[in-house]
Amino acid sequence: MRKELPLALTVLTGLWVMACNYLQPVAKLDLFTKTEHWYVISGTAAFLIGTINLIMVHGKNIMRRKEGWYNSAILLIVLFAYSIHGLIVTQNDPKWQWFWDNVWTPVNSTMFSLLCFYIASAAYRAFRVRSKEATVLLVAAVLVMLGNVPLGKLIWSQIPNIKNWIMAVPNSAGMRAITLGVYVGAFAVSMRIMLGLERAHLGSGS
Amino acid sequence: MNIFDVLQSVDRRVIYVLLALVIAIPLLKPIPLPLSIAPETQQCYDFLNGLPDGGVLWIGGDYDSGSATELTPVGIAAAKLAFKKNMKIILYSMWNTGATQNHNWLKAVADEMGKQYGVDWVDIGWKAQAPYVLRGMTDDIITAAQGTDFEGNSLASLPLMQQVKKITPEYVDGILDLTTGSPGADTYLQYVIEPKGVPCTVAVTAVSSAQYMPRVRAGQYKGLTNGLSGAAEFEKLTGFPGKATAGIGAQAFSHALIILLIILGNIGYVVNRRG
Amino acid sequence: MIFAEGMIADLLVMLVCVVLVFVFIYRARGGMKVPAIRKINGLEAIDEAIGRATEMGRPVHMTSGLGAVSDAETFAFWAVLGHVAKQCARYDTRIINTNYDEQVYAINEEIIRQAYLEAGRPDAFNRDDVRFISNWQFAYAAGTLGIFQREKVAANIMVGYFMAEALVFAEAAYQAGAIQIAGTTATAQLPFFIAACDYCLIGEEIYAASAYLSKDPILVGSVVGQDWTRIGLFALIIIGTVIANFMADPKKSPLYVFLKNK
Repeated sequence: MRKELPLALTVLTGLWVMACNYLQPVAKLDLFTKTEHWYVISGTAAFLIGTINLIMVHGKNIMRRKEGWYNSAILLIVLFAYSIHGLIVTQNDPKWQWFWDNVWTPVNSTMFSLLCFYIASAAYRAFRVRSKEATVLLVAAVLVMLGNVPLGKLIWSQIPNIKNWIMAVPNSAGMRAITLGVYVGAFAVSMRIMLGLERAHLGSGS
Repeated sequence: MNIFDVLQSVDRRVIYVLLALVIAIPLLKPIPLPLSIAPETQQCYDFLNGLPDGGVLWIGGDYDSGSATELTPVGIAAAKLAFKKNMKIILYSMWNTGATQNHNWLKAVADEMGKQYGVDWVDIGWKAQAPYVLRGMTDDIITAAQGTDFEGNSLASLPLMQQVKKITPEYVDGILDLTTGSPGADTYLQYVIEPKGVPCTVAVTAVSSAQYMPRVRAGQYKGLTNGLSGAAEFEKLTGFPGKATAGIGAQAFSHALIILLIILGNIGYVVNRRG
Repeated sequence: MIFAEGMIADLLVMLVCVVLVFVFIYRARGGMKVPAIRKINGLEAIDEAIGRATEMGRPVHMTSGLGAVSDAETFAFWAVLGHVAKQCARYDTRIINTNYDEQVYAINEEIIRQAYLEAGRPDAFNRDDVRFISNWQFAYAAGTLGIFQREKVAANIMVGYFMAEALVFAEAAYQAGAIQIAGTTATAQLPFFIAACDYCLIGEEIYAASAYLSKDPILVGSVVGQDWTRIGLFALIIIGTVIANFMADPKKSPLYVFLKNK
């Protein structure tokens, strides 16, 4: 029953969702919204699983004084302190907001800013004229980068127009093709899940 | 090791330092550069400027602090344009990490333009399971939003929300979605634009503009601003220059540096390959 | 009216797709020949990556990005995870899995534990190597980045739905000296994976992973059915293009009216 029960639940839930969307008598009752509420409830309960794993892993780091154990200590202290404080005062409290606005937000922005440096090193490393395709990629990337900034127009007045054409025509065509394939693929995966053919999530291996 | 080996294998730390300099210097000493307006940005501006005076603009703030540099300037310029046209604004954030920042910039714009909360603008804030709440708001905003706004006030007590009952063309004249991923513009497309027919324009980060361009071409979105350069172009069109205009110089020189490094790397690569 | 308003066209298109996929699954079940899946370099390279990690004595890292348990991309990840976990268990190679979503973490732990059990090495399974990092995007990125640097991963396999953290992972793993195989349906992140990774699975190639790695003819049949569905949609696009270009008012054409179903 370890594999059969989840598969049966999957099939029944899939058929139920399809009925809620496609069959008029069921769609009228707006039962899909109520089903979504169950999805939300079950998902919310899962947050404890992650928290327990964090406590176990970082707790072991602290107990065994592994290298960098103080980072684990900071993590657990902030996790508990901020959570408990938030539960007591709610997120509208100015002190709670202060930490969010002055610590979390700048740290988040800093991590996002890493992308700027990483794209420079990745582009420098990857954009080489190794083959015809790589050359096309390189030329297109350079034209789009120049077209996105005022320097492109200063170099040649047509660069912004070329960039607009690249974005509007070949890029759109490629994006549409990939998106179409992705949605068809996702549909096929959903069918395989409903038919019980896709069992990797049940621990059957490949 | 000859010069061409060096060109081909510049240490990434050198790249990072150079990049930091070309970004920092133009930010400290802004260099004015001419902007050319992309067709999609023009479309975005034309759409927002063409909304009826006194109408209702719905702003979706679906991003967090990481994308604020590229998207907040568009939001600010659009809000100023809308308030100048005596439009009402309703803000809804589907990213809980951005709800406070969105509230702050819209409040600052509203205060600057003498607009009153509850009458001229409302911030619904973030609600759990935000995409499903958005879908519910196409039937009844107050019920779907659990009756409260960003600060926990009753939505039903706000004069603006007594007039705007749902997200349909009857009550909302247009949507501007500031989006960086999911949930975002695609959520509006799925639940609002296609089923209900409310027209929408988007402001996106540069990295995701390629993904949304086909939808602009298909007419599903009425225009698009592309990252920081699109934000600067939009500020120029609205006549409200701001941080995007100030930052475009830094972006221009950083692009130039990356292109220069790519060219030098390829010179080294080609010469070594031939040798 | 038994069908919901505005859904008849959707239902019919879906049923046609279901029939197409079913036909090829049925053919495969019946032992009839189905076309083979073309060579996908990224999937072929998985065993090479695990071998490299085994030789170097360094771990393999796997992550599914920001995908939730209900996303098709996550199911594609599980197909790859099951295969990789089994190989790692067989060759006694450490596998580290970092997670953004708590539910996905719970399932991943079970998949990896099961793989070690099936390989006859339940004692070798290290629970601490399957880690929930955070469900904030950049906290997850920062934690995983640190693991790349500290553990010096030799192979990094990323399959799923990624956003901005994609390039952070790819570049950090490159700096740690890892061979990288990445696949995502997020079109905005594909250029970063193509630039920074050794192998990249583009879009729906990740959905073929379960069929490709298992070589199960029934799964291969479903992938072939998926391809025929795509051909059907191409035909629809061509018909629509002809109508849009040659009809005076395309919105009055029967096809448009049927698909819009208003």
